[in-house]
Amino acid sequence: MVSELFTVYGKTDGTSATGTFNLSSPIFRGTVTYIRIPKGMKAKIWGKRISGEPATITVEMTRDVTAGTPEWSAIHTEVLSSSGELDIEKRRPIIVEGRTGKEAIRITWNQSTAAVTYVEFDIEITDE
Amino acid sequence: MSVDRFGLVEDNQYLVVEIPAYESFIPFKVKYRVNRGYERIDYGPIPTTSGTSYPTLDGGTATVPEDGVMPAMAYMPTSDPIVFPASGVGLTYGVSDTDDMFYISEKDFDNRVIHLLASFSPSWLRVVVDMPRSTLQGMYQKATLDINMGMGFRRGGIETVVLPAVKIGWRFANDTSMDVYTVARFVYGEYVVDIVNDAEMVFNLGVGKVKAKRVVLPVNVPSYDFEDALRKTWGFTGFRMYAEHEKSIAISEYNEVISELRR
Repeated sequence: MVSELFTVYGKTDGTSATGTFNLSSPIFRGTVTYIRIPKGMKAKIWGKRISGEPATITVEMTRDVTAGTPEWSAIHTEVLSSSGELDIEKRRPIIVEGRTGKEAIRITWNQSTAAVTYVEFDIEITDE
Repeated sequence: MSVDRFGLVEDNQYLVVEIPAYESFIPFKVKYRVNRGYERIDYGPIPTTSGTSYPTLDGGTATVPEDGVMPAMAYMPTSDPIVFPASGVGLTYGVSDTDDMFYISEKDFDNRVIHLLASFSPSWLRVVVDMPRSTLQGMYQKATLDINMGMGFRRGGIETVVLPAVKIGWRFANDTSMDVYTVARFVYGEYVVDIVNDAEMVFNLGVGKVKAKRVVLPVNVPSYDFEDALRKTWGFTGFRMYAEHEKSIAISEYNEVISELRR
């Protein structure tokens, strides 16, 4: 079994009410706005931590990140309705399969008033 | 059991190395393990070099941004494998090749092999071992497979045996959108070996009647370099693989081969 569990971290820019997180992680250099899933493998989102100011946090996926304009669709949403912290870890992860190797996931935010919100997602790339 | 908790062959047990390209095998008796008690190498980053340009799986190119990083969607072509320098573990002398710590010259040791269980992080990295170096070995029917295709590679790790005088190359591919920091770890056994020289025992090891650890080398295509390495070390390319019902032919042939073995 091939499995790699890592945490990505992002922060809203504080000036835009909507946006896509620039994600950083100890496992990769710099930041990325999406995570492409290797063909034959799955991305599993196990844990989510959202803190700071209110925000609606959405996990989106595209089936073809190589397209000129990828189509992104929401597959999961968490709402931090007031200042504070959400720590969510469920037994069943959100699973996105890399059927073609062109699938990707990203995390976006939507706020009524632009403010600073932090996210951490625990993601596993695995072949099972 | 032939192997210990690391998956390495125990002293006085057998290791059978199969070579598909030659339909042969080499049966070793493992006399002892040189590195008993220190079987693990935390090598550190896979030795990619900042500034190196690699092709990408999407048809472009990517540049290694920092030593030890594997760029997003990049892969190493056959012409550009990497090896693991001995300096990565602080060795500056005493190895056959300081540029490649997993190379053994037959002039230094014709009675040692290195059993390697390699694991790499992130574990989704595609990995291929070219044996000998820069020789494509992946095959499917009549097609040659490479690391940039949909098949013909492993992910995360690989087990192999390094034979004297055989230079191997390691190639990786990263089919994600992230420039990843890499790590290489090895569990290894540096075995002092004898080639089994009793025809009956060779046969029994070949057909699996006698318990042995079996490792199939990623050698599907015959090559001069590989053949030359084995011949100059031991004088042969292994014992031909026979089935149980072919015992009499096998024994007769094995006796002849054994009489001409270098050791």
